[in-house]
Order: sequence, then structure tokens, then C-alpha cells
Amino acid sequence: MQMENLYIYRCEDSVEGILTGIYDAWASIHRHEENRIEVCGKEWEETRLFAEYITVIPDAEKSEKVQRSVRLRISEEAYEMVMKAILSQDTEKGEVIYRFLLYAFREGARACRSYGNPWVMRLFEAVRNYDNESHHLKGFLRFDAQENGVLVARYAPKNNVLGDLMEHFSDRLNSESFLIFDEKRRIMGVHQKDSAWFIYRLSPEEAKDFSDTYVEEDSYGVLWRIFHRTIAIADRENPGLQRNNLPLRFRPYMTEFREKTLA
Amino acid sequence: MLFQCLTVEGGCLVVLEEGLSIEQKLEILSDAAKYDVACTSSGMQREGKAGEIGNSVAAGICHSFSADGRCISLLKVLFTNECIFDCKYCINRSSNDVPRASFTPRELCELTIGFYKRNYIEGLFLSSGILHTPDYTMELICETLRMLREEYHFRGYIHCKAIPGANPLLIEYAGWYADRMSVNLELPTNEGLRSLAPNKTRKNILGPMRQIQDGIAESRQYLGMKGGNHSAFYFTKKAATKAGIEQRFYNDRINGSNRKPEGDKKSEEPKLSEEKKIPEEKEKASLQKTSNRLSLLEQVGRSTGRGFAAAGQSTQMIIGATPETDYQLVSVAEALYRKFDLKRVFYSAFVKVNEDSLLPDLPGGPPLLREHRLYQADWLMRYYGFAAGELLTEARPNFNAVLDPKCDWAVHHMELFPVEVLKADYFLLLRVPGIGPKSAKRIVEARRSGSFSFDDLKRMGVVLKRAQYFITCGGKTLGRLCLEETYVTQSLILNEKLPKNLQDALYGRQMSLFELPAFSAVAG
Ligand code: SF4
Repeated sequence: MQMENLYIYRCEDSVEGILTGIYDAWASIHRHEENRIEVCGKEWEETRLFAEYITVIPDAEKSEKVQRSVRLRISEEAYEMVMKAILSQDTEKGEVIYRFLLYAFREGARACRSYGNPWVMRLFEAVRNYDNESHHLKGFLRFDAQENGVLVARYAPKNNVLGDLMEHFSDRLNSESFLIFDEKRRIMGVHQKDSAWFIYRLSPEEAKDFSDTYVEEDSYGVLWRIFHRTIAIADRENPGLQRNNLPLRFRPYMTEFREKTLA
Repeated sequence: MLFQCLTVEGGCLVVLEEGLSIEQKLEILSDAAKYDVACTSSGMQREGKAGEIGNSVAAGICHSFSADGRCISLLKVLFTNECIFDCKYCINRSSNDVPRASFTPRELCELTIGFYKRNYIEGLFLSSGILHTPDYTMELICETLRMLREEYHFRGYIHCKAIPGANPLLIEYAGWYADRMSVNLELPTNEGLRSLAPNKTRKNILGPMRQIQDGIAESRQYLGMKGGNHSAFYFTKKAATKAGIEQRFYNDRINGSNRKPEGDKKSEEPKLSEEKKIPEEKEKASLQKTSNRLSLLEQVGRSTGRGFAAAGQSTQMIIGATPETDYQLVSVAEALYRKFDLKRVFYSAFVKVNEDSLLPDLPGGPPLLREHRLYQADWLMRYYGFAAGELLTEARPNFNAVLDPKCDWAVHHMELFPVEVLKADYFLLLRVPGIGPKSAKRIVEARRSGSFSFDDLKRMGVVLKRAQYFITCGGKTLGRLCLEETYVTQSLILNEKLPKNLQDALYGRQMSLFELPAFSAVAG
């Protein structure tokens, strides 16, 4: 039976939310061992008996402060890892980052490589998972050209990799206008031809409007399916390998797996 | 030929060739290109630019996977599948009666850009049959690349095949537009080439290869790393030589001799050394002259800063159409890496598409398991510092079907193990089955801030199932450490993780694990 008191900081799932939670926990009078950082998912975990719950109010200034000291006192690398972990799907990321920072403020820049430390390893895994999915999607994301020439992609990633993708595609397609819509989080990356990109959160109504007007195909889709089918060598057919390399969860959004046939 | 018989599902349809739709052309010309293996887009980092389209990512990006599980990264097509040559193994050979088609440069540009914008591909991989003459074809290819770069302002990845026998000027031209160039070696020996590709010669394959190598070197001289970096093989070799690994590992204990690789050069590269008899220096000098005369470096290279085939050069060999041993194959590959500074040597398991008395029968299908082992060995040569002569010898010329080449090497060198992971240097760690370049690097880094356990090793990516027989961690072993060769071999075989279809291939060959010497020894 656990007798010591716990102080649980419940944060919103955002950069500001999580970093404010960490800031508050740090600034509190409790010992670090007594603090926990929880990131809110759909519903709260069941309530513990010997715990006090603190609802964290996201605060831009506190979040900035944490970011600055990570960059200055640990390293740019640590900063990047923490930011990616915040966007990752790890449900305990708040706690992981908190423990990592405790260790890293003590150890300095080399903390990022101390794979013997379990929190460093956890952070590392969250980042790796984020990076892998982001890398996958740079290849697997598909755009459909709309009649007005705008390229539109939809997807529903596990990690919130939209920022990464916008960075990637705005360099690559800088002279195109394009949108990337994360259906799971209802957020949309917008890139206007030859200008900077931004991310926008859609209301449920806007999201519905968007899906209603979306046109899912142009003549290139047909050509791509011809190519995709033809390029496989029948003697080497291997759906298992194909599934390993291109997990099923990506396919609903991919042009080559749509059922349409040659018109 | 004006009329073509194009088979469409359900019947035979006569189509005027010029009247082929873009769909039909794409179908014919991607179908004809599918046996080419090098669908990679790696080795080139290039940012986007305002007003242009595309960039390139050094690590490469896979955009899809086809039903055979292979990565699709580039729009891989032939410019034309017309061909005046008659290579026995090739579906497009002149004696075959297949539907023929050719793209126009414009069509190909539109396809590439249309696919690229929708994020289907990283770029274009353009190969071709030979229409009329090598020069005629190569010119069309060059025109396509020029249009893509200069009219469409395409900054994505382009891999271009050089047509054997084409004028060096045209190859030079293509090199300034392409990121990667390749010339297919096709078959590892001269005899093979003579019997199966009678219109091709070693000379007009290795000639352009040398030319491209020189072009890259020249471009590197002017543009630095951007002009084209050396291959992974080159860098590994350099680091390995510095770490003195040849002295440490190159004791051929299987044969009981202690020869050094230097003394073994002749037998190591049996076939390519023949080619050296073409007075290499003279050839080089004459190529130098042509490139000076053309000086595209000034026109294209300087102004775009793109470099000459700066993502390097690769080649491809067909496996199993001719009777070479694995030892011959890896030796040829090693020689290619060393002499031509190739980025990659690709292997393509022979698929029998033509009936021809000169071609072998493949009752078990294409030799996929063999191809798999060759790629594993290739990896070991490029990133681990293994020499071909360490992996196989003339006395033991083929890979073990049931054990990967590294494990196979390790069980024959048990005297080097166990290795203490808290102390061993990078290259020694790399010799441990279950430890790769990534995990070896992590181990070396993590050591700086203290010691760690077997659990940590696992998290760093070490495959303990394999590594456990070869390492200690802080003096401890994981379970009982038995260095007895037969026992280790048996355990490794049981833990080998082969892709499912290759397992089938293995059993398809009627090989029972229990017939292996290692097993009978244990059972006995
Ligand atoms: S040159 Fe040989 S391999 Fe190439 S397309 Fe023609 S027949 Fe095929």
C-alpha cells in the first residue's frame, strides 16, 4: 500500500500544456519524487486515493522559459527530442519528459546519449517512433489535385507529425498550393503558393464542409495504379513483405489502394 | 514497325503504334522495366528553390511497395522497349514478339511531374532498350533529362542508365542532368556475357563506368562534396584500414593459412583484372580529353551547382542465369567497389521470361534466397569492413543456405569471442552477430557515461538472441555461454529470421535442418 502523497499535474496535450505542467511541478514545494505529470487523453485515469490533482493552466510564458533553459542548459538536441516527444503518441510522455529533464539538467548535453538511463531510453523510443512515422508519411502521403489546382492530402497519423510534413512539403512543393488534413486531430496544414505555411484547427462543421467538397481523384490516379500494379514481379509476389513495409493502416488514404479500375 | 498487336484482357487489338494511349504506353514500358532492381533515391541532398519544383533527401524515401514487397521510390520505366539487341535473358530482346512502345520526351516529363506533385514518387529512373542505334536512344534520353531540368525546373531525383555503346559525349551530357548514373554489368563474367548478351562486351560496359567515375571525381574536385561523394565502401574501408582490422581479422582460419588480402589480390578479383589489360591509363587520358573538349562542367555544372551524377554510380548483375559461384560474385562486386568507387552493386535474381536453350531452368523459381545472402554479404562489405575473401573462399565458394554470412563467419572464428561490449572497439563490436553499425555506435557512445546491462543493450538495438553467444557485458554472460561451435551454430540456425517467402524457398529446396552437419554432430 502506498502511503506517500502524490501530486499529479494534469496537462492539456500540447506544447504549452505539458511544459507548463513541468514548470509548475518544478516550482512547487514538493519533492520531485512526489510529483507526476499526466497528459489528458480522452478520459482521466481512475482517481488515486493518496493523491492530489492539480489542473494545469497552459501558460505561454512558462512554456517559453522551459524551452529556453533546455536549449541553453542542456542542448539543442535535447530540445528537439523533447519537442518531438510532446508530439508523439506516447501516453506517458509528460512524465517521461519530466524525468528526462531532471536527469539531463544534472548531466548536461551527454544525457541524450545515456541509453543506460531508463528515462532517456523512453524518450528516445518516443522520438524514434515519431521520426519513423514522419519518415514513412513523407513517402506514403498522397495528394489529390483539386479542380482549382490545389493539392490536398488527408491522413490520420498516430503521432502528430503535421509540422514535420509541412516543413518537408513546403520546401519540395514551394510553388504549389497544398493542404494536409489530419482527420484524427482535425488540424490542417496550409501552404499557399510561394509563401509560409501555418497550421489551423478546424471546427467539426468546417471539417465536414471540407470532406464534402473534397474530390478524390484525377486522371493521374489511374496512371499511378497502372504503374503500381505493373511494376510488381509476379514470380516474386510476397504480400507479407509488402505488409511489413507498408502497414495496412496507411493504405486507406493511398491512391494505389483505391478500388477504382480503368475507366 | 507501324502496327502492333497489343493484348488487352480478353482479346487481341490492333493499334497504330502512334495511337497508343499514355495508359497503354505506361503499362508496356513499366512492365518492361520491372526487372531492374535499383529503385532507390538515396545519396542526394538538395533543398527546394523558389519557382522550381522538388528537392531531394539524402536518406531516400520509399513511396510505396508493390505486391512483391519491393520499394517503389522512382517512376521506373523504359524510354522505349524497342531493341536492336538480343540478350537472351531479356523480355525486350529483338527476337521476342511483344508489344512495343516508346515515350516522347514530353510525355515522360508530364508523367514525372504529375506523379511527383501528387507525392507518388521521388523522381525518375530512366532506362531503355535500344531504338535504331545506341546514340539515337541516348540522345532521346538526354533530351528528356534536359527538358525536365531546364523547362520543368525539376529538382527531384533522376537516375539514368547509360546505354552501352553510346557516344561518351552523350553520357557526359546525361551525367550533368542526372543524380545517379548506372551501367549494368549484367553478368559477372566475360563468358556469361558472350553467351547470353552477344551484342554487349565488357569493354563497352566498363568503358562508360570508368568515364562516369572520372566525371564524378572531376565534379568533386570542382564542387566539393556537392559534386559527388565517395561510396560507403570507400569510407568503411578507410576507417577499417585505419583501425587495422585487416591485420586483426584477415586470418583465413578455415584454410589454416594466414595470408593477408594484399597477397590474394589476383584470385580475389578473377574476372575484372582481365579488363585491366585494356590500357587503363590510355583510356583515361582519352576520356579526359573528350570531357575537356565538351566542358559541360562550365556550362551546366558550375551554373546549377548540381554536379555530375553526384549521387554516384551503381550497377546490377543477374544472379543464376550463368553458373558463377557466390565467391566469384562477391569478388567481382568487391572489385567494382574498389576500382570504380560504385555506390551500390545490385543483384537481381534471374527470372526466366524467355524460353531459350541457353538459359537454365529454375524449377524452384528465381533464386531469391541466394540473392538475399548476396545482399547480406554486400552490406557486410560496405558497412562492416568485411573483405570478400573473409566471407567465402575458393574452397568454400557458396554461402550457407541456413545461416547468414556474418553468423557463418563468426562461428568459424570462435577464438575471437566472447567480446566484452564495455571495452571492445567499434569494428570489433561490428563483428558480433546481432550488433550492427547503429547499435555499435550507440554502445560506444553510451559507454562514455557509464556502464550498462543486457537489458540496455537490447534497447540499444542489439539482437541478443544472436549476440548472446559472442559477448560479455561487464564480465557477465547472458545465460550459459558455450563457445562450442556446433552448439552455437545450431542455436543460431534456430534463431535465424528469414523472410517468410525465403523460408519457403529453403524448404522448397528439400533441405532439412536435421540433415545439416551441425545437427548430426549434435545428435550423435
Ligand atoms: S540491350 Fe539487351 S538487356 Fe537491354 S533491352 Fe535490349 S535486349 Fe534487353
